[in-house]
Order: sequence, then C-alpha cells, then structure tokens
Amino acid sequence: MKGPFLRSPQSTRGLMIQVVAAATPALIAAVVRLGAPAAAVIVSAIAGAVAVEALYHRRGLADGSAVVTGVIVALLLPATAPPWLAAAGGAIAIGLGKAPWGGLGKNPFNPAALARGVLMVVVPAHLFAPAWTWDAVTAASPLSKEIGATAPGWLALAQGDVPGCLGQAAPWTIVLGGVALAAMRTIDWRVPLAYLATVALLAVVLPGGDRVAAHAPWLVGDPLVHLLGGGTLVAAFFLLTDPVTAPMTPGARVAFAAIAGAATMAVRHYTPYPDGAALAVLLANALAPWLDRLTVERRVTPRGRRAPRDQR
Amino acid sequence: MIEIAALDAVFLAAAVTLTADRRGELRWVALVPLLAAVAALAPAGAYAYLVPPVVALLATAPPVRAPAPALVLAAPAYGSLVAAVTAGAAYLAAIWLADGLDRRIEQRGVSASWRGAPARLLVIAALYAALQPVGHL
Amino acid sequence: MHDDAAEGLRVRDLVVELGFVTRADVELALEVQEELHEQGEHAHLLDVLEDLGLIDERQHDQVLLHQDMRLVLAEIPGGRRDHRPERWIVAAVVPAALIPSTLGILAAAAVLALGAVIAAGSPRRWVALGWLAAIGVPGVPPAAAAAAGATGSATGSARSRATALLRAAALTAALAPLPLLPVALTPLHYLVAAAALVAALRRWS
Repeated sequence: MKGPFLRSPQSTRGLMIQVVAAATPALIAAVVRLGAPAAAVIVSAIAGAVAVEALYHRRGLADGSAVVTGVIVALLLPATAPPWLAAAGGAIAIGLGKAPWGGLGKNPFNPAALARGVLMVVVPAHLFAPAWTWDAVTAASPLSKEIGATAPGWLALAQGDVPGCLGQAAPWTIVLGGVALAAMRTIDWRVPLAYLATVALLAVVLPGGDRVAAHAPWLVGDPLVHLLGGGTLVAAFFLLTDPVTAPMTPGARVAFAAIAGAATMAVRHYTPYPDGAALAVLLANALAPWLDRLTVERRVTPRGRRAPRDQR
Repeated sequence: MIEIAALDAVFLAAAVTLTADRRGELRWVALVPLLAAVAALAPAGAYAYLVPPVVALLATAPPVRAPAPALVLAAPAYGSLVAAVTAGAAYLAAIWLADGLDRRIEQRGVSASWRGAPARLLVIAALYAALQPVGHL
Repeated sequence: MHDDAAEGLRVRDLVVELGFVTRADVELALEVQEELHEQGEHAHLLDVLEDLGLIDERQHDQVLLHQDMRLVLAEIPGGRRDHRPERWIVAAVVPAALIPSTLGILAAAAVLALGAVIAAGSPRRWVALGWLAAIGVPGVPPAAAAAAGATGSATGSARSRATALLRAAALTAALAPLPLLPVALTPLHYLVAAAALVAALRRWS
C-alpha cells in the first residue's frame, strides 16, 4: 500500500518505520535527559494520534503514519507540557491535520506543525511559559524575548542544556536521524540544507527588533542559537521534508525551505513569539501550490500558449 | 465599533467570503480597513455617532455582492493607516493562499462531506494559526 | 461557490425552457464562466448571460423567480432540504465570534431573526444593507449585519434566504452562553467548529 502522493518506490509502512527509527535516538535522549515527563509527553502524543486515527481510518493504523505523527508532535512540545496537552496535540494533528482531507497523502498542511500551531493559539500559556523548570532549575528559553531569559553557551546548546521542546534535548540525535534519512533517500537532502542555510544566513545579517534588542541581544549575529534552539532541527528534518505537503520539483522545494527559514527568522526577530519554526512550516505549506504552479506549469506550458486543462 | 483584533477580523472576513457572489469585488473589500481608519481619524465632533453607519454604507456600497466581509473588516479600530493597509493586504493574501490550497485539495479528492466549504474553513483556520505572528509585526 | 444543481434545479435548463436563450448560448456562457473561474472570478451563470447581452435584467430576475417557485414546490415542508448549510452556519458564528457578551449575542440572534422577515421578500444584498441604519449602536448590529449579509448575499431563493437566516438566528442564540466559559475562544475555535458542523450536517443529510 502506498500513499498516493508519496513519490517513493518504498511502501508507506516501510517509510514510516524509517522515520520512527530516525526519530528514536532523539526520543531516547529526551527521556534520558528529561525523565518521566518526557516519556509521558511522547506516549500521550502517540496515543492521541492513534486514537483519532482509529476513529477515522482503521486502515491508517496499519501503515504506522499516526505513530509517526504522534512522535513528531511530541518532539515539538516541551517536557513541561501536561500529558493531556500532548494527547490533544496528537489528536489535533490527525483530527484536523489529516483525517478531514481524506487521510494519508491528501493533507495540505503538515499535521504535526498544524497541531503545534493550533495549540499555540488555543493554549498559549502552556507553550509560551517564560520560565520552564529544567534539571530542577527554573530558566527561560534562550529564544524567548522575556525578562529572565539568559544567553546560552554554545556547549549548552549543543548538549541540549537549555529549556525548550523535546527535539532540543539532544540536537545531535535529530541531526543523526535526519542525515540517516537523507542517506537512505527517504528525504530530499536539499530541503533541510536550504532551510538551515537560510536560518543561519539571516541570523547573521538580520538586525533584531526592539524586543530582541531589549531582552535577548544574543539572538542577533549568532547562527548557532537559531540552528540548535527551538524547533529548527525538527522542522528541517521531520516537518519540511514531508513529501505530501512540500512542492514537487527540487527547485521549488529549495525555495519552499528558504521561505520557511526566512519566516522562522522573521518570527524570532520581530515578534514576541519564542519560536516560529512550526508556523513557518505551515506558511510554507500554504505557498507550496503556488511554488508548484510556478515551476511545474512553466515546464509543461509552451511559451505564449495555455496549458491544457488537465495539466492545471 | 466592536472590539476585535484586526487579524481576527481578517480571517473571519475570509471565512464569510465563502458566501460572496462576486469574487472580483474583493479588491474593494480589501480597501475597507483603510476607509475605516481614515474615517476614525476624521474630526467628527458632535457627529461622531454618524461615523460608523457612514463607514458601513461606504464599505458595502461598492462591493454589493460581498457586504459581509466588508462589514467584518470595517469592525476593528485600526491603530494606524499602515495597520489598515496591512489588514487589507492580509485579507487578500489569505484569500489567495486559500484559493491555491483549494485547487490542491480538489485535485487530491477530499472526502465528500468535507469538500468545498468545510475544507475552505479549515484552511482558513490553519492560516489563522500560521499567520498569528503577523499581528505582532 | 454557487452550485445550481445542488439547489435542486439547474439554471442552464430553466433559462432555455423559458425561451430566453438557446442551448448554444448557454454553452457559450458556460465557457465564459469557466474562463472567469480559471482567472479566480466566480460568476453566476445568469450574470454571465446578462453580461454577454443574451438576457436582460428582467429576464434574469424571472429565471430566479421561477427557480424560487419550483424550489418552494419541491421543498419538503419545514425546509429540511438544505444543500448549503455553510451559509447559515458561517453567518451564525460571525456574531458569536465578534460579540464578547451573552446578552449581545442574544440580541444579534434577535436581529438575525428579524432579518429573516426582510429577507423573505427582498433581493440579495438588501439583508445587509437594511441594517446599516442601526450600525451606530455599538456592538450588535455590525455583527448581525455581517451575518445577515453572509446569508443574504448568497444567491438562492427568497425562501431559502429567510430559512437560512432563521437557522442562523437559532444557532447564534445557542452560542450565547459561550462567553461565560472560563476559556478564551478565538476565531480558530469558531472556524473549526463551523467546518465540523457543516461536514456533519452534510453527512447526516
């Protein structure tokens, strides 16, 4: 069984197993570093996703896509999220992000990014808490532009010793999983590269907004804070690489990733939001049809003539 | 005027645009926030109570087939002319993005009960979530 | 967004049946309509026929009138056939999303119910314009006018407009307790709820 828009010769189930395997080091690292609360978030998010999938499409359970969605939702949530919130995230991802559109391969938005975006609107206090308890120490996320946020050291960032989502707990595990997926050609390597390069470049050249200047000046000119902080790596390797919600041609996919990178940085530099990676993915998803029209239709339409109806 | 954030009004207007008859008139609808902002700047004095009905009349007169989104966009108190122009542009952008996604959704064959209006409303809801930071720019 | 077939009677057939145009004229108008659709403009077939000079305004209204009459005859008493529930569901959530008080939402529901009386005998768009005089009162009327416009501006029979407004009024009244909830509701809640309700009604019917 293959998802209708998964352009891979492998089976859907095989792809899902690969993605879960790639995310497993990050999940293990999060549980080891953050303990039972992280485990509760992971289990709850998967349970929420699987439960709603079972209600809508029993068949969808067999391909494992609901588990993958639950795992990615968990990676985008902080360990401080209560289990009900994680379960709601998984349920929203499937209930709004996938099921209404007809199931796997038909959704216009990445379900996990949509779940994170919806939770940010509905229960912002749980995701924007200025201070999170981390290793028995209360601190603010380095990406938050709040009083109390502190400049993170590079080593602390690399080791994941900063408050944030589960995907931040051990950044190297996300990179490891992402590189493995790229090596197996499960994902297009150009997408994370373009996204991370855009984030890094803009981190260096973009001036900060008023809030950044007042409360988080370290966000300006330091690419590592942005690359290793927030949901950047999860977005790069697990959200933007979703073939269903990305454009079809390689060129359009690079532009898609660059747009997401620019949107991520715009949110971080010029709005009070601590992280905009998931929102940037949603925005890029919304632009994917336009990027497809720009690239695919230009290829199939002779100059000065209109494409036949079935090519539009 | 009622108290509603400009971004909220933009997406509610995008939702009620479902019922608009003439999509070609939406460019007029997008000018309504500017009209409301200019009217709010006018020194109406003792006639201030007349400003909202006049704004509503002017807002709904040109886009005769799309009065609902025009009225929703006339509702917020825009802080500045720039904010009003941004709201109008955001409205058109939301419609444009939703149109693009509509085509993709149609091509992929959404289930019958969610086809059309419900899918459109969900798309607008997702765009509302994605574009929340725009309200803070 | 209008679907004549979904209304139970096709304008393309009726306009020929009444002898205003030929099938070839209709085919031409459908092609133009398709072109407009591809350019992002969704024009009603009757408007296209009128713009092409194939029918005049009086004939336009006559076709709608005939459609209305046949729909009234065909409709099950009580208006149970509802092919476009989004009209009244979206219209109902607008005042609820705009007005932050229970009393205000109830007042908007009353305004919508009154709008149904006006809608029954008026052409499209007048439902919204009829409320302009009341807009100076803060709060309720703009929201109600917007909601009325949402249903009133949609093409359809006068009876279906009135029915839609009554349904919108009932649903708006049902939403009145929402401001009493201890959680803050955003347009996202209303948009998702409206989408789910439309989908559920379609499945149920």
